Amino acid sequence: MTEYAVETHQLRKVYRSRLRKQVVVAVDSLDLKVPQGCVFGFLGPNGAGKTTTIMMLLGNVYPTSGSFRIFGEAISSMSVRRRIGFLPEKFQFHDLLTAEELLWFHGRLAGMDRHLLARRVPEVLEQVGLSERARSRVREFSKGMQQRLGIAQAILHDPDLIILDEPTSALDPLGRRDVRDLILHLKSRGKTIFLNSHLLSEVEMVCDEVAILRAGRVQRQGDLDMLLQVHPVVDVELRVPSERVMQAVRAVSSVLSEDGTSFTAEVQSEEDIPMLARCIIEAGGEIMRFVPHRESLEDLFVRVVEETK
Amino acid sequence: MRAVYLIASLTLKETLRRRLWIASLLASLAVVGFVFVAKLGASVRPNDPIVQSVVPRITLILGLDVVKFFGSVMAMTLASGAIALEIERGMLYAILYKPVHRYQVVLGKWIGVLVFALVNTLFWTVLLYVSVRVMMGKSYLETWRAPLVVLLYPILFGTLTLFFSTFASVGLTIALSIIAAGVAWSEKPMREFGIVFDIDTLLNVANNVRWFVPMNHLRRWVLEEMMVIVPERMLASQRFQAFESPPRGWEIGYVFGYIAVVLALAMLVFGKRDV
Repeated sequence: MTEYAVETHQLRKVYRSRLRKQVVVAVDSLDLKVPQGCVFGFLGPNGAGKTTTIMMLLGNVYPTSGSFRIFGEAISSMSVRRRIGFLPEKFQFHDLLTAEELLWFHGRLAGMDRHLLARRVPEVLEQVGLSERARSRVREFSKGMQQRLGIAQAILHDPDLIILDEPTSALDPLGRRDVRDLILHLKSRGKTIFLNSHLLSEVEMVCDEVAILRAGRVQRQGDLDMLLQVHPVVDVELRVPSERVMQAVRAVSSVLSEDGTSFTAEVQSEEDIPMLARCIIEAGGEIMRFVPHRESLEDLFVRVVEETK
Repeated sequence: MRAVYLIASLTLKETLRRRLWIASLLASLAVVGFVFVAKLGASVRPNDPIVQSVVPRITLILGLDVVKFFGSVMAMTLASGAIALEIERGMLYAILYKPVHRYQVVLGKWIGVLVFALVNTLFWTVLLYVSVRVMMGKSYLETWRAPLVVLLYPILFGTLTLFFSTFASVGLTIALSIIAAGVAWSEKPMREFGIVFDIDTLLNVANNVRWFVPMNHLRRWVLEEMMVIVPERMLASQRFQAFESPPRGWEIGYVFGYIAVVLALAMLVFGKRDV
């Protein structure tokens, strides 16, 4: 049995426009390894190739070259398709059906029998907070409610791999919290979640591993804690600006930004933080504010995207 | 086959809930209205035996043309959005990742669209025969095979449109379907002009066009089945005979083969494309 839920090898997708003679490399040499049972954040700026990658993993888009496996099998295998749940970014459902009818349809399509569906449909509607609207037509739902219904559709058949493409884009803060809780609940049940989201604070809260994609290539990938522990950052404010102090600071750290009396410095490790404070004081600086903080996922994301421009 | 059944049922359910039966009702009124107008026309000369004999027969023959038109348009309308629209709106994404083959999606859509179009076409045909019987007092039950051939019209155009829908946008699908129908319709006038004015080129074009969209095979087949009620004067006309030679057995086979090949192509193309 493979230890990876998703494994890609040199995956590449090229779109060719014959009329305009344009070639767009949407995904290039993509090597991903998503361990089973983890929450995997798939990040990248717009146009990085995230949705194309997801569409390839689902078999909706054919790769130009390279290969991938889901639970060690090709996506053409019907048995592996039964183990996948998916919420599309552009979610729209057959809106003349009621929520209940829609879930019955998707459940039956996923191969569930009637007895199981009779139990599961009310259960998942309850999980996404739509049980009171079970008999309402989908067209009467708000965008947020439709997104909740989409999540219900994705988890209905109890899949092992759940791919969520922007699952909270239409949700209010309470809805986002519910989705976060649901993701953590699914993770506790050993499910693998492949999460594509622009809400980096959300991703940081739930993900174990992330991959940052830019221009179709993976720029960083790994355990989130490891990635974020690389460079601690300190925000400092002095009473008066001093070139002597700044020279001392530059000797022990790299200054990321400087603005009058304030600057942000990056040190090599957490052990260097007290040394930075000592240097400032020894150089005659008067510290008004000294805030060390770990790099956030957003900082990392921005840094990686800027670095690779 | 469960997936095919589920997708066909969904397509049918959506069609019903989109209130397309209102369009069906309007078409029914048009069929009845057509017979009523013909009856009014005939009532101008109540004592003319030729008028009283010819008008009901012509009404039925032309009425079947009206039914063919409505049946084809309904099938084309439904089929044009069946796949292309669902891709554009993103509805198919939640279906295609399921343990379903793409050919099953096409087959399910095909069945769902055609069941609705065929039921309506059959209803309008029955309505036409009943209207002629009630308003004109004539029933031509000996032509019962013609309506069965008429049912092939929505199948032909529905299948062709669904095929376009597997690779084109909704707008392009509609445009291609209209072009296909236009090409098919043009065969008859081209042939007529070719014969009347002795223009070989037109005849050659007409002869080639008939293979692209074999609607005229069906039209001639319907006429062949209606021949027992075609007025004698019309039958005797040399020109009529030149225009409307009866279809041969292999031409009828070609129509069925054409529909099967187009459906298979639709499944193949949809199976190979990026969605």
